[in-house]
Amino acid sequence: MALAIEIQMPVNALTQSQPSLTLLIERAAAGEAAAFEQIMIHSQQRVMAMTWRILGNEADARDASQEVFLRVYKYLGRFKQDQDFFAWLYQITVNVCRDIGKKRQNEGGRFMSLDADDEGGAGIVPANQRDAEEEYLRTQERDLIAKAIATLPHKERASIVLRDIEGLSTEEVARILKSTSTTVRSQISSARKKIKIYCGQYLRRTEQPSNEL
Amino acid sequence: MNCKQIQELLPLYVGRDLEDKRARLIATHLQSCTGCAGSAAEYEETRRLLQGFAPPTFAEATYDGIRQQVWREIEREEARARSLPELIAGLFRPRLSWAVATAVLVAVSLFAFYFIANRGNERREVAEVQPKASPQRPGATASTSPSPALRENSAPSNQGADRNKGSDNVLAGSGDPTRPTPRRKRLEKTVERQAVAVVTPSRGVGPSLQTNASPQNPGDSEKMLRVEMQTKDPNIRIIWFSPQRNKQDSPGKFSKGV
Repeated sequence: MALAIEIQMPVNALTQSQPSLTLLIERAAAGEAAAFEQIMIHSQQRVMAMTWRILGNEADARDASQEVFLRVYKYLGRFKQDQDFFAWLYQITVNVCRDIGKKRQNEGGRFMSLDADDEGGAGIVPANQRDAEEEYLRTQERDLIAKAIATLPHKERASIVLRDIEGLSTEEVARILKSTSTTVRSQISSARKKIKIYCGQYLRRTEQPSNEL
Repeated sequence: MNCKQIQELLPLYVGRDLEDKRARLIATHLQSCTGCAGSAAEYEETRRLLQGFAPPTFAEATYDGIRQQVWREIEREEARARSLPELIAGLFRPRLSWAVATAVLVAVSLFAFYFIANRGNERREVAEVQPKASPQRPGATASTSPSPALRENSAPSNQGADRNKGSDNVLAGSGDPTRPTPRRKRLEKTVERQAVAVVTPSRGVGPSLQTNASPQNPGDSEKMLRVEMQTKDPNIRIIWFSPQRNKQDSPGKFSKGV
């Protein structure tokens, strides 16, 4: 009964129910399938969101999420109870996204450069042109950022997603990426510069026709 | 700080990733420099877009599909893990192989030990020039030296040697000299038997016959004749063995005189 209630609670409440998560992890590590199912339910939104942000599309995000949970199942026995479960989960997610990203690159897939002409760009409505539907605007902004992030190398991408989107501190990001705070700061700085340049180029390109008018 | 340095630090400044002292310096500069302030605004806008970078809302079916796929994959992995050891066991059973290998090793070791020990006994037998104890026939002298002598081994009693028949015929009583030698198994019995007697002809020069054997059991009818002939050349000695079945009336009786 208690577990059913937790399913309906919002994701951020999980940190408050840490003891129950600890119990679930213990039971799942002991081989209890129902406990592992609950862990998946509790963390699926977070994992799916993060994989989508890093990889940029739903299909890859689904594949990556499946692989993340498979690895969690496989290595749950190695998880130490004094660790932060979600930090560990992020670590696995970042590694899986890196592997899938490499695979896609080798297949000649979705890597985009700053100079590439993209189909989505033609559809973006410049911010100063008209009041577009909020959803459409959000979609366009989302696509823009997704494309900007897709131009970053994996480490910068992971750093910027964990720091600016997931809201983790520099030290937490360094722990997850098994790096130092200085390195993470350097990667974040570089990522922000590139995203700013990409977004600026794009917005300037779409603003020109309106300026000419 | 100049504008170039400020531009380098702006990405960290907008993300609150700089220490307070530097952040205050940059804030002061931005108040007076429009160029840097404009760059800072662009960085802020980018950061706002990043923070608002929310994924689309995925349907519950998507999540259900992910979980189902995960369970399918887990079952597949476990089935593979179960069948793999069985497959390996069918082809190669580690425990059985270890057992067989150990048994073979033990058997080979035992055989080698037996073989080496046997050869060692042979050498000892060859080296036994003198019998240990034997009553001597009057007139006969026991030869303890490797003089040119023909020695014969038979299986007499404990007390005495079964003297060879026919002193002149050095091969008499020695069984069939043409039989192939050596017979190692019987040699073992010979080694275990007590040495009985050495009878050498008192003639001195010439080959002499030496008999050296005693039955393990007094009533044992099988005798092993060990015929040893020392040539005039002290480095050359001829030894052969032959079985001799001889019923004994009493142990230690000489059946041959020299």
